[in-house]
Amino acid sequence: MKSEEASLEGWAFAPASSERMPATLLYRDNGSVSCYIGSQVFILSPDELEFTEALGSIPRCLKLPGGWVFQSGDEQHFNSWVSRFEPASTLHLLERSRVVGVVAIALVAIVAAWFVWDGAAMVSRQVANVLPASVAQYVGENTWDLLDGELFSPTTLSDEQQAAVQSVFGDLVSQYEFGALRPRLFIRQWEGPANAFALADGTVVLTDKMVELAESDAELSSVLLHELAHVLHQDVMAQLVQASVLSIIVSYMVGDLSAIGDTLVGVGVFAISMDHSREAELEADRFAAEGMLQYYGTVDPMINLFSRFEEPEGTLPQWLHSHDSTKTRIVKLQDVVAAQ
Amino acid sequence: MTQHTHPVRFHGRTGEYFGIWIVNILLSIVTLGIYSAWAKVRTKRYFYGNTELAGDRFDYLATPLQILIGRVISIAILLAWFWLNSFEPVAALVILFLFFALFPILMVRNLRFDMRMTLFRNVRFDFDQAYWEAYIAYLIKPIGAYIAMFIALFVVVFASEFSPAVGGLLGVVAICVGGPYLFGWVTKGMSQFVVDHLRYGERAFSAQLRSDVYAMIAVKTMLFAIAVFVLVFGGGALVAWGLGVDEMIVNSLANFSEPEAATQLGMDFFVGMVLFYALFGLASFLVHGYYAALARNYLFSRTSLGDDLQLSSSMGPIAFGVLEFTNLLGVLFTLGLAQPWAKIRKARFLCNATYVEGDLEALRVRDTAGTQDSAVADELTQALDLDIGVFG
Repeated sequence: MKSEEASLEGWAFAPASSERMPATLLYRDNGSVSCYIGSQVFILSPDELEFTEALGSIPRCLKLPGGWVFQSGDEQHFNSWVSRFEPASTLHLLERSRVVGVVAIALVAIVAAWFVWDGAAMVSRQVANVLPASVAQYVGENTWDLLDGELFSPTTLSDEQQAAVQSVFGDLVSQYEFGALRPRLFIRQWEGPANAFALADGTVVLTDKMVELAESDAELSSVLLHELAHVLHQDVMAQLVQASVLSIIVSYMVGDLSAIGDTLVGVGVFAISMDHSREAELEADRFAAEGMLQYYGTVDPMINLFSRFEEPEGTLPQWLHSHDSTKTRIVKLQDVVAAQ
Repeated sequence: MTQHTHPVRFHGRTGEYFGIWIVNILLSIVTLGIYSAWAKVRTKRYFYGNTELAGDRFDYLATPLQILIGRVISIAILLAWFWLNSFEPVAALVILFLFFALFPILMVRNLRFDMRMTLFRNVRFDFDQAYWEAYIAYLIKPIGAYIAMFIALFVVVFASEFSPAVGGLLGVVAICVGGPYLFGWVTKGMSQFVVDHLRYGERAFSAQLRSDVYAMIAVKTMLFAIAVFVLVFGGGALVAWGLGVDEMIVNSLANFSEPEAATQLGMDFFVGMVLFYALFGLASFLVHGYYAALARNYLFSRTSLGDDLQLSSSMGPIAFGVLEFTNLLGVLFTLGLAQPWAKIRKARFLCNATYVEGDLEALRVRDTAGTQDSAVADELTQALDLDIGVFG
């Protein structure tokens, strides 16, 4: 049987040597290949041919026995000759496909958008639920030590007032199942406007001004219910987890950035976190409103208390606030009542 | 001996690399990160394989499995450290200290791995296991520089007690001469160390570097930084004044009690912050690029391989900062999709500024490196974001 012969000029390297040696590759249609390097000849059958892996349009090399390497000067010709013996890998095809490129952009955009707007919150909530209570305990206690040491001074309320507030709190706590968390209430004096908040371990803090602002046990209950909702939903841990997860994902998305880039990304992560925080606040409001309806038959005390809040100065656009405006919150409360 | 200047050429293309990059991300997501080891190898191979010197391409030899093992171990170490940091902060601190003490070893291992995975003309690069020298260059000299700075500070304060004039004079000398010289001394030590222990096969690289040149580069960079910050922020302030921003702010402040004006002020403040960051970013990139280009150009001009090959670099000091800044803008405004474009652009810029002088045809070198290589140090230094790329 006679078969056609063709040749390719190139060069070769001996094992572990950088010396470029002129070489010729002779190949026949039946697939057998001879490589002439100086006085050396390699004769290979098609199944003995081994090439460097295809990637982009990098010139491929023929790996000869014993660590010899042949490379052609005519890269395109050689690359297409190689593809006769070695069908391109799926991976290589994927990487070169325009369709895959476009679909991948769309997919990455969708996944990224979903993750930023919903997924991160969902995943964080799951992670927060799975984390052992000791983590929440640790975070909560440390936050409280820091806050109590730096921000607050002892309450100026009388012992009777304090006992009354604690008893309202105790009654509410007994209505719900908190799992491993033990809600506790601290009352502290603070310079700022009337405020209340919950920490990761179930610690609830009321400022003196908040206690004074509440004119009845019902009004006080509405605030405490809101904070207990945060405890029940593990909102603090979820937000902590979310902030970390978002930062990691976003920095992976935009790749290696300098410190300045990191800061810009941080601003974006902050804005998104604030948005989720508003959702958590509205959810806690809804929970408190349902509690109010259950225990007092009305949300009016909650609305009354809200309308007495000092409106925080509107120095920032709405989406940078952790809470909606009091007006919005009252409207949403009325929606809850209407839905019942 | 014939003398040639061989330019380093980069053949990578944005569109082509985009396909590789996006598939890397997709498969990494689908495999929950496991594919990232394969992704790293493909990325490195793409950039090495598209870098050409005198007709031959570089190649990256690490296998994904090597990278994966290194990655798993370094993530385990990091997680253990985070966990320890939450529950036993003291133990975590001890480990952090230990890590700093081990840093030079880690660095040598990392360089060694990276070099041994780099192939050119069938011969690999290599890096000596020069641990003791690494300690001198990366730990002892920097600590020595800090001690010298404290002594200088003490002397200045002490002298000021007796004569403010003498103290002031000493202070100026310390800042303008002592500081740059210490910096030059430490930087020279680090670069010298890396080049001196770098090999291509059996042949060693060498460099004749001088501390005072690095000190001069530091002084030039300081002057450049002052000029850039004055120009950028002065220019920014002038533009703001021209647009009447100051009046707008005064108006908003006057009507602060009205919610709309207050919200407007908040918005203005936010926009102002973003602009400030952008200007600050531009200035920082320009300054950093300026230093990086001068240092690289100098280092290359003094580095040779054996007696017959000489490196050379012609990076434009301003062009590099502008490139890095526009890359960042591109990446930020496309939510990361322009990353391939930015990487290819940077690689092309760096290659276009790099030359090798000498007769590469006559270069006959044998590969001597062994084959037992672990990627743990490589991955750990990357996980901890320790950038030790000396050659940009």
